[in-house]
Amino acid sequence: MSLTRTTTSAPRAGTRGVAPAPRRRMPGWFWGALLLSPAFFLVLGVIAAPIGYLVRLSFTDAHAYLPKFSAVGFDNYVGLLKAPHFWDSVRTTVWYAGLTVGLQLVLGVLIALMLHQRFRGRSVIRLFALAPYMVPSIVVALVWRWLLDPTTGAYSWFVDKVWPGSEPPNLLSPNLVFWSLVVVSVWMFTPFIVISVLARLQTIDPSTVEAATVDGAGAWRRFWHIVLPELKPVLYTLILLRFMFMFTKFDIVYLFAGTGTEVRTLPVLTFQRIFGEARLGSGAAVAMVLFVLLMIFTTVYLRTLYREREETA
Amino acid sequence: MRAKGRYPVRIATAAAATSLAAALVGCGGDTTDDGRVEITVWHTESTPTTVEALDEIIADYEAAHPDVTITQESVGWGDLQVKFQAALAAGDLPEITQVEPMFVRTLYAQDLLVPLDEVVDSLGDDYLPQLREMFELPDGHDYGVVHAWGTDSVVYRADLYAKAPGAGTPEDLETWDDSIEQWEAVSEANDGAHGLMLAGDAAHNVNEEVYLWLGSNGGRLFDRNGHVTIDTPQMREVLEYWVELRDSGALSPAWSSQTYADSLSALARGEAATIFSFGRATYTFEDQAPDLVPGKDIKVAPNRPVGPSGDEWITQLDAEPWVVFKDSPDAEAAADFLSFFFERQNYRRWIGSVPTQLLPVRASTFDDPEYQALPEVRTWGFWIDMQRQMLESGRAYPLMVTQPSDLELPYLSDLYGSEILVDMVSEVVENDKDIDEAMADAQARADELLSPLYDD
Repeated sequence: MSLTRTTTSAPRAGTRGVAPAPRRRMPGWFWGALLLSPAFFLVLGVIAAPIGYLVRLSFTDAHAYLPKFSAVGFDNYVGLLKAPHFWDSVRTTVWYAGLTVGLQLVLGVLIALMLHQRFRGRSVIRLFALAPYMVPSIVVALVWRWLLDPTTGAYSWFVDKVWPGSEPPNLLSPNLVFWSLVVVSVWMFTPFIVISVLARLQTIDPSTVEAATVDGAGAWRRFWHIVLPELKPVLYTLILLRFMFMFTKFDIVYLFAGTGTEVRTLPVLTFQRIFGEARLGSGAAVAMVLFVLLMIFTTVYLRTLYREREETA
Repeated sequence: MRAKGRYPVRIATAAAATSLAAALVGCGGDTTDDGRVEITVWHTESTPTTVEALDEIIADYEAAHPDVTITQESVGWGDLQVKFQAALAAGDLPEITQVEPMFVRTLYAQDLLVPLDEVVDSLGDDYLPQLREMFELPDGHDYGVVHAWGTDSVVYRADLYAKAPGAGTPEDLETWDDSIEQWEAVSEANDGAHGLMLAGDAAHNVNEEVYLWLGSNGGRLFDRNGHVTIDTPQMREVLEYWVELRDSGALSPAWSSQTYADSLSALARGEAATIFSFGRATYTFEDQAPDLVPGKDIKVAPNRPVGPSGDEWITQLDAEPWVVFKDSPDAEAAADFLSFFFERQNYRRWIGSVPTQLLPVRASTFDDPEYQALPEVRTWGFWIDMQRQMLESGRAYPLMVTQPSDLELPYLSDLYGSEILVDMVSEVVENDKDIDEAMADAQARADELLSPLYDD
């Protein structure tokens, strides 16, 4: 069926009855395409084109300032897979993302549960609990570096006061900086979980919890059987979002811990390849691997989630 | 030496040409429709007094040339390479910038630079020859003009050394073994202080120690063919020295997380008896330890210890040149501004902003009564004299250069930025990795990185 319609208008009074030529209207698909085109070109220009360029770059030996730009096939990828330090980076990234997301979730839920209780000064405490998320990364990095400085930091001052004369372990040394980074990251990003969980907690019908209390359910059972199931959807989304964020996190890693092997996550490795080693092609290949790993994780995660929901339904 | 056009034609693909052309066409400055000239200047001297000094010079130049507008942008020293690469890729280069000496040949090889003969000629014989030679390239033209210079020095607290009688001072040091013994003794004699503090937080500081110690141990980072050589007996000795410094207690255990500024503070506060530093440190000392007397409590040694395989020590020459990009629409005006910058009165303002860090490239300035009257020069003149001695000795080499011919390699900065050497040191000194294994790993990574860029 044609969507094209023609209309005729009745002759106006006083005219000789000469009907104007029928005006053709554009087909519906045209208007659909026209209205979609801004979004299409935006996605094309801002997402698809850069990814396409990245893919192309990853198959070249492009150099940042030397005139090299030859196709090298899969050499960059093969080189990466053979390089032990690439696998170290993958391991560091998974560890960093996994640990920080796990700790953020546990702490975030605990803090949200506490902040959900009624007590004096709750609003002020909530504000303080959310504050770390509002501080710019550079400030967080500098403040924490100062706090943990082995010679002049608050940490060394504290250790010296408690155990005079002792030499505190250097928490910023290559041996320990990864763990310090995990602590700083958890401190900085847990409020995101707190906000989200707190918002969900406030929508749970209090009468359900009260009924369970009347029935003799303790705090743990109320949490496990009533609160947690209610939180599940938001927690699933948070796991996905936080893992994606932490897996690709660059700023706080770079600013707080630098680019050493202990903290050389895939985003840091990408940066180092491109700006340190001037290898655009190889850096693009690392970025592509990061992208593909994230895609795989997201797909598997969403499929699992979907299947679980189907089964529940 | 890599000269222009040595790369095989096949690699000069259309894409490279396009990106390069885009980079050049979009140079930062512009000649506007009304004929006004706009010049952007990047430099790494972020001290407010230096920024002010350049503002004054710019204001005077603009007053004399009403059609010219100059904008200065101060870039952190460690950020220049990243910013420069991004600008090159984005086609947003400034007209004038400071660059690391290792970059000049790279840019020259790609025909990106404009000769600055007129600027150099305006300095005449007054321009220190050691600085001029670095950027006088094979076609006989000068492609970089050093704005100021300085050398890395062994700076020490004589008062802390005095507490370890018999240990001597850094002036007495001849070998690495001597230095371990001395710094260990100083550590033991001073509660809460270590004989040596290094700045190990930033990759560039670790790179500095590696190439300086290697060069002072008869080693080289690149062989005669320009191939990287890490897995060598001399490098092995460098790493062994580092481990021994750590194990003996001579080196502060905090070294790996100390920034350069931290290391200066450590000396000022008496937590370290010795550091390696440039002249800007005087401001930290005066600010944080005003009671210490320069030349009495804080001294500078004219020498460095030499490794077991070396005959002579080397030190770092910090001598970043101004360069002007060829395809800038205002290249001529940019060069003219540089000539103005180096005019006696203007130049004195520049170096006078941080006189202990920005040593003059004009030999006559050292004898200029106005220069000598600067308070910093009067107080710290002994350090400035020491740096002149080091420059004249011919042992001061730019970053990553273990022998003068290294400057001709266009991939020095790739090794510098790669952190391969930094990882090697960290694995050995902080994680106790086997030295041979760490060197072999580093060699393999460096080969993979640089071999595609070799001539042969």
